[in-house]
Amino acid sequence: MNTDEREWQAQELAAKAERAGNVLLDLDPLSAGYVPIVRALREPMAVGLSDDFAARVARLAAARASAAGADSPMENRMLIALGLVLGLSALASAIIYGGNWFSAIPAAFGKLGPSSGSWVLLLAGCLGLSWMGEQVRQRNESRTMSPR
Amino acid sequence: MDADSHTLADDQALVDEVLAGRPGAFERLVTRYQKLCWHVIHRMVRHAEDTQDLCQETFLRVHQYLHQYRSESALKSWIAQVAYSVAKRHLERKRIPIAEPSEADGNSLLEQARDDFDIESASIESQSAAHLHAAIECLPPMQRTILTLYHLEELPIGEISLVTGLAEGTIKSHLFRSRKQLRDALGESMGVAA
Repeated sequence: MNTDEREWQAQELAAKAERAGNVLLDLDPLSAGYVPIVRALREPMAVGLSDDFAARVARLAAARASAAGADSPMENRMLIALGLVLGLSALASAIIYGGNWFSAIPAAFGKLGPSSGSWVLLLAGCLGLSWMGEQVRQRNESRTMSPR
Repeated sequence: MDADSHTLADDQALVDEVLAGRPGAFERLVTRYQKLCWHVIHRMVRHAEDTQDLCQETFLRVHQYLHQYRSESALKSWIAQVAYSVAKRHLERKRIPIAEPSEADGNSLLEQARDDFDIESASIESQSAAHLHAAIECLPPMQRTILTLYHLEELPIGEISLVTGLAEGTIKSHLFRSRKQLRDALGESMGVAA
């Protein structure tokens, strides 16, 4: 057994003695030297929380949970309704004007210059970067909010 | 009954009650573990008002994520893990180092402790005890917390590893070196007092 291992055993023996109410009276000098340390570390700490801390936190947690519970279904319902309205409008527009659009597309491409392709790529790049930024932000947020 | 004497079944029953929205269940959970929460956070941040706020934040987080608790580990360890994480983030935001300082800093525990203590007005015995407590306060936040979890909360090293996310060998190393530093500081203070 090397010096560190012997000292670790002495520390643990002192801890064991203190936990057992110091019944192991025949501690060797090395272990006995650690008894005051362990005793100090086991001294109860004053807790500076108010008497109504638990009740207050429980009320706050319940209020937050009910607020979150009340908001989410409402928001979800509104989002679904909005999506449906937009979808129906797009469908109606496509049915009414679709024929004209399809016939106009080749003509529109014909009028664009050779640099138009790079503008389309730039637009796609911007959209891609925004999407990636949002993904990173959401990932960081969920990491911050989880217990660890 | 304190937080130490609850079995995994007790913990799971209480968690189920909280998740079922049983009135008073979460308040009982907070009452049961608020002392543990204070011990972990106060040992880390050493500021009473910040500790109060962070204890509240811890339990709000516990309430929010309790559905993720699996009874493979004790609820005590899970809550200590949340408290440790909240306190660690607080210290990181304030740019306060949580781990061990350099060797040179570590050797000056007694000198740091002496600054906070009036040697003239105390007896030799109380001087030693006060120096020891001051030396504990001078340890870095992580070491103080590990010592508290091990000696005051009596968590096994494996559970402390879960709480802090450190390997068991690292926990043992912190325990060993911190206790040795404290014993050296105590020895020095007794030399000074004599």
